[in-house]
Amino acid sequence: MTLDPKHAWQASGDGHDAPALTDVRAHADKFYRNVRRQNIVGYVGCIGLAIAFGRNLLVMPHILQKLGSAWMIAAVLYVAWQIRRRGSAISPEKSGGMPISAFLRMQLARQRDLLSSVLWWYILPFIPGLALILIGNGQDPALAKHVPIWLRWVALGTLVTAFAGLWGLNQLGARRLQRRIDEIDLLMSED
Amino acid sequence: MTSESRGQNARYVAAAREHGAMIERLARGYEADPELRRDLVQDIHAALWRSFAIFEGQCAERSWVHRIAHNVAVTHMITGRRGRKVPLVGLDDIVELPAGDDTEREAGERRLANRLLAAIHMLKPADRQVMLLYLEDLTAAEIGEVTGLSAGAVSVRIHRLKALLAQPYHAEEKQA
Repeated sequence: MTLDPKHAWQASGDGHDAPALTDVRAHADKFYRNVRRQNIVGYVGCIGLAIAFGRNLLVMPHILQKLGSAWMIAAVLYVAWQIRRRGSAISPEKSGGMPISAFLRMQLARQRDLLSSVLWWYILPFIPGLALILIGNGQDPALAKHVPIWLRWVALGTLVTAFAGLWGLNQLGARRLQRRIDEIDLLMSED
Repeated sequence: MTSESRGQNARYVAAAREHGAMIERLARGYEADPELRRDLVQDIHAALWRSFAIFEGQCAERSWVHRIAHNVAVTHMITGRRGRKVPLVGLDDIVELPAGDDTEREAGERRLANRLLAAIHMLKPADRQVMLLYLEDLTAAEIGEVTGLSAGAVSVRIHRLKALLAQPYHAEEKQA
């Protein structure tokens, strides 16, 4: 018996009809509603952080604590803007004029750049603000009375470890993506 | 409703009618989980409908539809909505088509289609795309246009594919 693979493949499947146009439009709307909802959740989180640091700005007594809180508000807004700027990928419906390999490479490169530069746009903006708040805390006599020095060092160590871990994980992710990009480049260079 | 959106709807409906079955098969090639596959099919149709708002004959409509469908599918893959249990390989790493899960019950074309699907699920994205497009009867030039691979790279893969696809005949002949 001789079987034609193309015919066998094209004859396979459940034979479902194409979905109704109203369902397709509803699904497209739902997709963009979900994206909008995720964005709103992100912005609400940023506003929450900005309010918390705004409160610190008003109630913390030392000038360095106030300056640090103001810096943190600016850092939160900057990071939110960066996430919006760097996170917006080309949507697949706009990719019809683009070959699959070019589209895939672009998506992977965008994710790689987001991860590899996380130190500059996500971690560093918070460091000066945190440093100012921590130095200000050290100068605040009321806080010094209630929070022992060892606990402050533990808090600082935890913060540094968390940032270092975040950076390391992102670099690992970026390297993994780079390997996939290299595979595509190799593929594209084949004659 | 504006005349543009009427045109967009009409073009989508015609394309969905013509390529709907291909989209289902493509989704099977990218996603083994039935529930996630249903989502993927809906995502592809939604992207296709939206794409016809900007389609102005930049390329052949068939290439456009295949590009949209594959680009949605690769986005589905890289956004991690599917779990991968086995490492992916290239076409030259598959010696023969793997057996399907239920070979006793199924026969003929259905068994062959299942073996093709099992092979597709093992492949790296570029080889997977070439195999899916080849099985959909696109020419080497069309496969190059859709994937962006050079004519040489496409013909090497098609050559390997043809050798691989010859395997079931040998098996059938041995059984006969």
